[in-house]
Amino acid sequence: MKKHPVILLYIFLSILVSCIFAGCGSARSRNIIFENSQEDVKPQVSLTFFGFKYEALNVTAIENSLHGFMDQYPDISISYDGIKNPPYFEILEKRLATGNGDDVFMLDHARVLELGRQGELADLSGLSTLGNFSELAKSQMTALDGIYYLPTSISAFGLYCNLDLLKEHGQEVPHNLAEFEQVCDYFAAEGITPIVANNDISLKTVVLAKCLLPYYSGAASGQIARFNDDPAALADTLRPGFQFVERMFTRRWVDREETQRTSKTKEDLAAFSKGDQPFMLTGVWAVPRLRDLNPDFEFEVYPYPILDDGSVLVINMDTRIGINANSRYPEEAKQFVEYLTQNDVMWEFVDSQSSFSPLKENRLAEDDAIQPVGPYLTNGRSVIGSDDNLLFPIWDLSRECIEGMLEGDDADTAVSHMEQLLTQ
Amino acid sequence: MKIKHRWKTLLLAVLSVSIVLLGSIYYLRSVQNSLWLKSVTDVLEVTAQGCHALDTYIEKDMEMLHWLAEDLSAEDSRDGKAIQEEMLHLSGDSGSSYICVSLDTNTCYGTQPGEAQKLNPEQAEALLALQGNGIREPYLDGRTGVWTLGYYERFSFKDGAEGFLQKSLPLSTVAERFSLSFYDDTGFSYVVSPQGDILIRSLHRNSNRTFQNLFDIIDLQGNDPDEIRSFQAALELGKKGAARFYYQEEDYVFCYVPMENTPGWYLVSIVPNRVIMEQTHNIVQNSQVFLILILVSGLIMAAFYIVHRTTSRRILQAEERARLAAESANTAKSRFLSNMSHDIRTPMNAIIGMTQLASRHAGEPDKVREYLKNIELSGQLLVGLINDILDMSKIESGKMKLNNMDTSLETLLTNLVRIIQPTAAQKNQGFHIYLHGITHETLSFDPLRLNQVLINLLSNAVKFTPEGGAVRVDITESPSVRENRAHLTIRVADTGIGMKPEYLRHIFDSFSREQDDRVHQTEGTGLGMAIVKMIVDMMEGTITVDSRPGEGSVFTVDLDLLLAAAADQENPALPGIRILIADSDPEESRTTAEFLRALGLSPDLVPSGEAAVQKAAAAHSHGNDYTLILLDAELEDPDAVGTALAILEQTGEKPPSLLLSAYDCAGMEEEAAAAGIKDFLQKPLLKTALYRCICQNVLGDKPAATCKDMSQDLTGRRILLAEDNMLNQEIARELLEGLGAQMDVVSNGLACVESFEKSSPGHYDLILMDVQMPVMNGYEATKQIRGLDRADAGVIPILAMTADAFAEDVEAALAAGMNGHLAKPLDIPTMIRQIHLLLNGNGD
Repeated sequence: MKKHPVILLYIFLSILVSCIFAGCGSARSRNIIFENSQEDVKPQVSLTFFGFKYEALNVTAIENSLHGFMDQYPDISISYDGIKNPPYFEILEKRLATGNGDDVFMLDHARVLELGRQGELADLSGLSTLGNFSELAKSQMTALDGIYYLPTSISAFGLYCNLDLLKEHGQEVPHNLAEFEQVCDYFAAEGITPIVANNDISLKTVVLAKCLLPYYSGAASGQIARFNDDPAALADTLRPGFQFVERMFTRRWVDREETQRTSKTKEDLAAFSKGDQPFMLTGVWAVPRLRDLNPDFEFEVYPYPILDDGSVLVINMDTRIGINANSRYPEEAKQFVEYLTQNDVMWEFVDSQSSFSPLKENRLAEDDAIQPVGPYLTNGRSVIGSDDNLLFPIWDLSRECIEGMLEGDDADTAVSHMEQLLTQ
Repeated sequence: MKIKHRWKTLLLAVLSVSIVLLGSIYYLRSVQNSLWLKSVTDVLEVTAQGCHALDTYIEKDMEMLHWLAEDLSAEDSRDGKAIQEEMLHLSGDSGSSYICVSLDTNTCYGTQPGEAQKLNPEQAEALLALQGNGIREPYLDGRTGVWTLGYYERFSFKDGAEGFLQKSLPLSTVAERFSLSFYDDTGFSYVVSPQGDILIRSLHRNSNRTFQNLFDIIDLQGNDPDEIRSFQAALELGKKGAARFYYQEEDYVFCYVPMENTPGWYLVSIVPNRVIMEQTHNIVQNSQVFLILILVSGLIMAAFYIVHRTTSRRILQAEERARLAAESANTAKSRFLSNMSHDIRTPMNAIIGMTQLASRHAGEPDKVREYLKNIELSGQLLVGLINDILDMSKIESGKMKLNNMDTSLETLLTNLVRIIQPTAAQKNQGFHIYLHGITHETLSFDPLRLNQVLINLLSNAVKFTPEGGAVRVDITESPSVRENRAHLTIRVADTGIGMKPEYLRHIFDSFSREQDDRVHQTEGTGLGMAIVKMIVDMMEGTITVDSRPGEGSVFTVDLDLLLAAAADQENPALPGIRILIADSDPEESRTTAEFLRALGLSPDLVPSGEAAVQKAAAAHSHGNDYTLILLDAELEDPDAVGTALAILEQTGEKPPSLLLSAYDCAGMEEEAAAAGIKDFLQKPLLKTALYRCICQNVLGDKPAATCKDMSQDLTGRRILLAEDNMLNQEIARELLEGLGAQMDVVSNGLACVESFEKSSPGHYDLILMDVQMPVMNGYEATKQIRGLDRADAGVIPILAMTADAFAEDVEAALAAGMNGHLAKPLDIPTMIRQIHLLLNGNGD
């Protein structure tokens, strides 16, 4: 009985050692065949997508969209080429002119007009996702005879409010003109220039916001196009806006010289991030960039509180996508655009850029700071900065007028300048 | 020590397991690292090969460009037509195109027919900046806006003017050719500049399509800035290597290899670390399983070893214990044999020696008588020793059983006195038994064994008490805590030599005798106390001893004895009689008085004979004579006889009944009878005995057998003896015929039955039946006799003669139909007494 366990142990050890040595050895000759997996099938169609989004933050959403599309359509491969603006449009035109145009590309209002007239843009009227777009977006898309682009985001322009600084000074976020004037006057009296503005979009959006709301929600709603026949009336309509900007200068709400030097989404963010000024006027999309600067204060973005009865939001149909009318694969390109304009894909794209969706969308933005702006997309108190129904490049023209005001023009001069540009 | 050893073992075990675990972890980590390194090395190797392929492709194009440049260098820069012609021969494949520029005149010749064009200053400046030959970083073609790769070479025309030749091809052409992918299309290669800008990206469907710079994806993910800087520096220094960074919620491996034909360019393969580690994980998992198996095996083996060792140790310990027990038993056996050898040989030597002497001095009766007496004494000693040994053996083997039966204390004490008193009297020792609180005179116990205990204690007491000493026994009854029992405390005290404390510790051990000259001078086997202890233990009692050298010893036995099945018979009330007790021992006197009071009498007590006479005289003078006067045999001055005579003298017409109480009335009968003493009472006096005595001597009841009646006359008695041993036959025949009996002797049970059957009914008065006989044993013979159809078959007394007197033998004898038993060797007085009891109808 004593010996049995020992014998068992020896047997066990022998087996173990045998297994070990057996495992160490291997067959001399061997052939293993690896079959090709199904994923090795090469795509039949290669699409190219050209855009002016190139910064890493922006292209991540595009990357996801591309791969999502290719997963859904294994036969199609799509690549993206991003070049920053303004060289982008130049390159776009060259490519189109030399027959090297990409299948899908990004557009702005001006290029939609131009390329649409030239027949370079495919008609997207038959896309299945058109019904997903909001009425506001549709009003822009259908401005021309046919649909030549689809917006993939709505960018908004807002008043950035330094909540901590306001609280420190016993002030609150203004929601109408009177409150805005009161707060700005307070800070101006304290020797603090209340508003950070850049030399591009800040003040021109103020002008547009101040003057054009009636044409989107008032008695003149939907009549913006009548200015196409009467550009002088448009310039005059914008007068109160220029006057308001002039008042901003004279009441020291904005530092004219400083603004002239301040570039969009760069120096303006740097200045505001210091936390010395309570307000900034710039695009809502700049929120992530502002956060990257690690401001040590809480902030939120609000519509412009520059009307007597409340605030108004300036928006633009942004990141317009068009299809090359001469694309080798128009159907596949349309499939991509349809994919991109699905609700969830669109939402992921816009939310990653702190923009808003042009689709019928009730979701709140993930970023709390921009949630005050969201309701204004649908409550009738928004103004389109560059309206497709206007056949003038009002976005660029208003910038030029503001540049003049930054150099010293008064409001009347600005209006005249505008009239001049519109009638050119 | 054991605890220390256990801690050491535990520590060792913990240490071993820790080493194995740490070793395993280290091994697995090493394996993981090695496999990772191997995989990364493989990726690096493939990247290097891809790099080499791209380099070769570029080199080929560069070579071709060089030949073209050589062709063009044979032309004069001013001969535009020749140059144009040369250019027209060049055909671009896959969208490639050539330009040749005369840098002196900024004239540009293409492969399309038409006028040469002039470069604008910007374009000229850009070309002038390019020296020697090489590849331009991908640029957007000024005309087409398409990403273009340009190979260029500077050369000199025949006239010495600077020339510039460039081949342009769409970047996508190169990208299509060099789309390296790894691990099931999870990793891809990219051509990057030293600053990390993506120059050529893989066109594979799973490759990244959007990021412009390598560091865009690394910087965003919170990677260590120092490591990023190190990576950047490596790229700038043209190093080859591998880095690992966090991107999109997982680790990626960046394997970078510098290109040779395009200094500064890198081929970077980006692979998810998870994918590289997949294979590693399999191996590591298998290794983990293997190590776990080894650990489990080790644990099993350790457990097995521990169990085996524990079992072995237990076995060894058990064996050791058994060995020690065997050694001890062997030692005990040797000691026993040694003791026995001496103790047996001594009386045997005496017997043999005395026999020889008797034989030699056969003609000298006195000497012969002396020798025979010594032989008898030695024989008895030998018998006692053998009995002790057999008792020890029986008890130790668990074969001894108590034969509890209703027994009267009177019988027990009478027997005790009968055995001890003569020896004590010989040594002139005082021997008294005192009773205290006795309410149950009959109890259920094994009389033989209790007798053995008391006789052992008393014989030791007598033995170890010098002449003139005293031995007393106190028997006290008290209520028992156990139901249906009476607690008896029997205290045996002597004024003997006492025992040393060291010996007291071993007093109940076998063969234990005190190492003392006085003890050595006294005979004894050393087994008695051991036997006493064993019997008391069997009776579930206790025995203690208190002794001091020179002051005597006290043994105290406590027993809880069952009450008799039949309660003591209630004695009917006695009529009022006057009783006088004359006893010099106040304790005995008091006890006797208590018993008499319990019987409803009121005795008077006097401590001396003189006082008794005075008392009797006084009573007589008052006309209130004592009916009964009990005189103690130990009265002195006058003694009992004198006192009796004096009382009779005083009481003349109405003499009281005079009784003598004594432990031993032998030798006093005649004198006492002559003095008018009517009867004798055996001490110690019990209530029942007193009652019986009063009934007989005062109330005229039939007298019971007393020691006076115990005569040894068997005249006219016919006894049938069945005994197969010739010697025993002769002894019994001689003894009993000497007492007047007529003996018929047979040698086996069958002959006994036949003899009895042949005899007429009532012919035989008694049958003495040996048990172990040939042909038919005694039990069978008794059964047959009892079964005979004759008047005396069921009543004739049959006494068994057994080799020992164990309970089973007694039971067997009684069960066979016998009336009693005698133990061999035959104790003659016991035999005579038993016979008398049976013949006189008082046997039990």
